[in-house]
Amino acid sequence: MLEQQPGVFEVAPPMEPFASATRVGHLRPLAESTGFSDGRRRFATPGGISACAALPVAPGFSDIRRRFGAPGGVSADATLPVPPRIGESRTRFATPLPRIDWGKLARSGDAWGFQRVEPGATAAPVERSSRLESTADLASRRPAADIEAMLRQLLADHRILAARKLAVAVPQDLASGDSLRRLLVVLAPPVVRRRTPARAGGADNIEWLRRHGGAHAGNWVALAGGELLAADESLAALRRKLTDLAPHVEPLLHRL
Amino acid sequence: MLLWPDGSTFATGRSRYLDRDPEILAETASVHVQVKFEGVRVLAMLDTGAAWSVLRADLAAGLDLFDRDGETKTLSTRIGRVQGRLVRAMTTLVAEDGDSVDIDSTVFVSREWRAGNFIGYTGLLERIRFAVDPGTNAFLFGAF
Repeated sequence: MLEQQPGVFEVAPPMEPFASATRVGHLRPLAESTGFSDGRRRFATPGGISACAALPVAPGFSDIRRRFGAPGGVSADATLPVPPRIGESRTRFATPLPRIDWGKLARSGDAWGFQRVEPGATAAPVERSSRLESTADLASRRPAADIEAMLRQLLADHRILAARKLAVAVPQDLASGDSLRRLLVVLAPPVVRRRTPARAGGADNIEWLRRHGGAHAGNWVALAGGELLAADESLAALRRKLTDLAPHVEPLLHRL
Repeated sequence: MLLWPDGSTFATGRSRYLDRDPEILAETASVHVQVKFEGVRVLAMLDTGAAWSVLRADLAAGLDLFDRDGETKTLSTRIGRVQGRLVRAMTTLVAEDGDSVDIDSTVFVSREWRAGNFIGYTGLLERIRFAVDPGTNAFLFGAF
C-alpha cells in the first residue's frame, strides 16, 4: 500500500513534524485546525499538494497517522511506526517516508478513509474519525502503563499542556498505581488554597538589599524590618542562628 | 488594589520587588518578588518564560523537598541540562498590602541547581493575575 521512497519529504520529529517541515520549506501551514483535541493541522506543499496531519496527543503511540491529499486525487490515512523514544524517532523519520501509491489506494476504498480533492483545491478539514482517538478516549481505553509512558514522554518533551490535558482525563480507577499517581499529582494544575491579610513590612528589606547587598556577596542573609539579623555562607547555619534569635518578625532570607 | 474596567478585582495583593539581584552580575534588570516556599520567605525571580518554578538546591534541601514524592525531570536551563524532580510544594506570594496568596503548586528541585530561585508559569503563575509597576517597583497580584 505504501512505498518507502527516501527523500520525498523531510519529516521532523513525530510530535512536531510540520513545525520542522515548515522550517525546511517543504510544507507550509494552511490553517491551524480548531476544535481538534488530537493536534490535527492542515498543510500545503509549494507544489499544491495538501496534507492534513492527524497526530495523536502523545508520543509513545504504536502508530502515528497522517492524512495525505493530492490535487485531483485522493487522500489517505497513512500509518507510520513510531519508535518508543523520540530520540530514535527523530532519526528514523528524517529519512525514508512513505509515498502513497494512489492507484492501490483508490482500489482500497473507504478502508483508508479517502477524501476527494479537486485539482488546485486543498483538502477539506478532516472530520473527527473513529480511528482518531480523543484525549478522553485515549485516557479511558489505554492501559495505565501506556498512559504513564505517554505522560512521561510528553513531560520529557516539555509538552506540559498536552500532558496535563491527558492527565486530567485519566479515570480515577486507572490512577491507582503509585508511579502514575505521582505523575498526576505533579501535573495537576496549581490550586489557590487561601488568602491571608498582609503583614506590614517587606519593602524595607528590599531597600536594604539594594543598598547593602553587595557587601555580603556569597552569603545568605536574614533581614527583618530593614535590618540585617544574621548572615552565613550556609542556609542551614543561618536558619539555626535564626532559631536562637527567635525574631518577632518573619525574616526574609536571601543569598547574595 | 487593582481593578478591571468593570470594577471587578484584578489584583488583591501588592509587594515591592527587587529589580536587580546582587547575586546575578548582569546589567539587565529583573523582577525578584517576595515569596514563601513552605513557609520560608525568600526572593524569587519572576520568569514567565520558565516552564517550572525552581528552587535553589540548599533551599530545597532545607525544606526537605528532596524527600518528597515526585517525578524525575531533566530541565534545559541557561547553565545546561539539570537533572531533578518535580514535587508539589506550598508557595505563597507575599503581600505587604492586601492579601497574600497560598498556592499548592508544582516546583522543580535539583541538587545541581545553585542559580537562584525562580517562579515560572506552569504549576504556579498560571493561576495568578499579576502586574508590575516599574515606577514604584510594585508587584501586584491576585488569584482567580
